[in-house]
Amino acid sequence: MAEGKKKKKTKIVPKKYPMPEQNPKERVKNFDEVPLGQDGETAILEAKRCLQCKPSPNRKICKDGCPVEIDIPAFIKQVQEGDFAGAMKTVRDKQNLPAVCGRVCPYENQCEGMCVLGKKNEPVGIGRLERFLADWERNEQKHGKIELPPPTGKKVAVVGGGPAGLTVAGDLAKQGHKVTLFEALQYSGGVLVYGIPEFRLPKEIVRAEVDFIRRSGVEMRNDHVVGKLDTVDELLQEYDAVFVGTGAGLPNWTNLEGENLNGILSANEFLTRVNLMKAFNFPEYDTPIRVGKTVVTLGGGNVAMDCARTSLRLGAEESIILYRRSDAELPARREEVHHAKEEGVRFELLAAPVRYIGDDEGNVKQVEAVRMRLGEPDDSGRRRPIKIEGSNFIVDCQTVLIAIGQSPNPLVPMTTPDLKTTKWGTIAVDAEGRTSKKGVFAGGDISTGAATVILAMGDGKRAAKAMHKYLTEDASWPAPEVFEKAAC
Amino acid sequence: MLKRLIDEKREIDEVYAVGPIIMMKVIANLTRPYRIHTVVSLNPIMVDGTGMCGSCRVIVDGKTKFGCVDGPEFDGHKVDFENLTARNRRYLTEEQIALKRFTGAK
Repeated sequence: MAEGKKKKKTKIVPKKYPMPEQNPKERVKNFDEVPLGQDGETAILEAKRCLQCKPSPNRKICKDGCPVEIDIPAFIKQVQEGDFAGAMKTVRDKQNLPAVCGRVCPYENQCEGMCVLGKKNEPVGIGRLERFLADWERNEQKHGKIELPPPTGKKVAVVGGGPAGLTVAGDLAKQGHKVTLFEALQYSGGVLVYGIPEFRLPKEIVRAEVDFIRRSGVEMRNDHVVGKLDTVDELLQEYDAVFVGTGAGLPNWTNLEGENLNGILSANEFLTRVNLMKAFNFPEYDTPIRVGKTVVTLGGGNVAMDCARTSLRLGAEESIILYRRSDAELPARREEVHHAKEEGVRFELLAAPVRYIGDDEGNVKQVEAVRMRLGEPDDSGRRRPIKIEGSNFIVDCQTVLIAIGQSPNPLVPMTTPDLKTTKWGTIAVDAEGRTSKKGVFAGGDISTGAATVILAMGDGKRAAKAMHKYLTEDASWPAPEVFEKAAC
Repeated sequence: MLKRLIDEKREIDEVYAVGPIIMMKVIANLTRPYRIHTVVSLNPIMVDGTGMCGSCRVIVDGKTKFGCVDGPEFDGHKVDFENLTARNRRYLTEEQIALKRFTGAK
């Protein structure tokens, strides 16, 4: 094709270049990743779809949608030119977990949602470009050598090795602070290792990202539960600042009759057994998991989709999602809903559980549910589900997975008396992530309530900036009243 | 033994019972009529042990508690031992498979 150098107007390619995926019939039998990734040639073609919009105060572009402020047009330009190493450098400048975010970010609401090309066509596949670069770096470059900055002599403790904690640790280590990361579980990564399944985010990739942060000079102390082994107050005696990123790990329950029957698990228990403890490989690994012929998952978010899809892979014949609102309100990403449907997950919408019915041995055998209809919008702006009296029905099942959200982990607030919390149990913070306790910062789900990986990382970024300032220039701290208001 | 001590009217303020569920249950039942405060140390099946999953949930005084972070010590008179016994039998088959593998038995 003759592509004259001076040619001003390039032809717009309306759709993203396709992402090869595992066939749904095959993939429900394995835990391998579903999207297979693109090659360099496709990445360059995809990057060339980009219009290279200039930022202007009058319109928002891709990079305005990125919670960690990656210079997206710049790295796409580098990909267009085939300079993958340069592009990766641009990404890494802001992003500590590119291979993770290139897979699990809700791009459609962020960068790709703002893409100007996306107004009339499909947006540029920014997420897949990020994924391509991170995978390319991991496979081709082996991350290269990491240059460590001169030490500042300041010591920082990071509590919680999830997306927020890893971001803070990585950012502060980059600036020469001595960071120790305390993680309760045997592997760092938080929800990335115990929550998100292998077929969406291979654990090998998380390990490589965590390893990159370790090699940036972060000391990782695993199997260390702050709040049990020691307290934040004790950490403050040894460290100049502490970041709390302990996440939203407390599962919410339905509090219905029969909830403690065998076969009823929180999504966290189910996913932790499978992802962290490798129960799908029992008895090679010691932790078992049992799924019945029919599995009912309660909830409609990404975690619910993960549960329903994991159940199929563990051999369930039928996997049913029970959600109280309609398809349009499902909080999960569309891509996840689409993948779940492709794999044969059945959606029982506008239905809510009423009680659980057990057999003589204390195992669940049925869920009683009731039909719902949508009423007026509630505080969240979503239409409130209303029970239709007398519409109760029974679903036979042997496993029930409860995926109706998580609350903040209470361990650190409980053991740190002067750390103010809100009525939702989150730690009260100001805009910079400072808490009511001098020298202690917080971010991620523990201060925002359950959200996404990338928002936790954005939070971590802001806190890391404030912590650096606190450690090097200005150790002033806001008055307690600031937090009284937030705490109420 | 404990029964004898109680019957001898020895002054007992508190009893600690740590052992198999059935033993803790029996002790709690024994001390209940005498209103002797009895602490039991429960061993529900745990996964992460950090209060994250609820595998170890036990019913104490009608409320669901997590053995790992809320316990493991609880007031023995308030524990629902029937539920705990049933819950701890969840993976009996798998436990036997794992034990056989470990000991090499057929």
